[in-house]
Amino acid sequence: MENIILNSIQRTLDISIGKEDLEKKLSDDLGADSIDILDILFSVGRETGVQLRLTDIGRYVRGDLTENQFQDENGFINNDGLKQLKNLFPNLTLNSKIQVQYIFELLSVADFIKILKQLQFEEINQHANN
Amino acid sequence: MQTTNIVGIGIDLITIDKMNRFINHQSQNLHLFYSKEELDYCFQKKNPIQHLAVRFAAKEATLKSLGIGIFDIDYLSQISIQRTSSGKPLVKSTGKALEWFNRRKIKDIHISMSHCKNNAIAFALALTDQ
Repeated sequence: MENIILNSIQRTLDISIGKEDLEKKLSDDLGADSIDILDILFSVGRETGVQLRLTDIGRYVRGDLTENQFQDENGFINNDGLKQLKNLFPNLTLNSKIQVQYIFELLSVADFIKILKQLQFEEINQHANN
Repeated sequence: MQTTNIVGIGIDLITIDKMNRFINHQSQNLHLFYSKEELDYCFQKKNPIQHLAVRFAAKEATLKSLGIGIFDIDYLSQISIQRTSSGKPLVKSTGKALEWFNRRKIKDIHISMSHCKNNAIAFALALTDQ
């Protein structure tokens, strides 16, 4: 699974990623924008046969919090949301309040792999149980 | 007299090269990113990629104007950029996207789009009557 995700990131961004690059930010360091993230996400889904919904990523990032508990009415992540993000991604650097639309810009290659691996396993297990 | 308030703005720019690569990678998944109406419209054009690109930009601009991100809706196809009989862009939402429209009390989204050989750009203005 990890190799599928890594290969998809490399192919989409047209770069080579070594172990030393895993903590690099997808956006700031590697230049990924939202269309690249979508491309990676749905390419992984095609290869594994399990297509995630985009909201699956949002749900994973929010943890036990609802959308209203995670962000304010203007889309800014609130204090509970920031606490949840720090729990999930301890290496995350948060210097100021951010809007939910920019979450993916905070994620490292390792963070993104962690999310996709977990969600893919959840989906595969759910299909197996049904 | 009814008052209309601007509650959000959004802009997005995409290169045609990147859209071309995206469409090549995701040719099996286009229905997850575009509605049937959008695909029918774009693929009857001489340069479908430019029309797909500008609609992608309009979807992203719409999300920004709502203060949400790509992980707040299930699929980008839940935001469909169509046209009125006069040719004016029209945003139609379904599913999770429609929920956000209702939650933000959006009355209308005004869209302006432009594209050329190399780039596509869109601007969105979210309006409420409250």
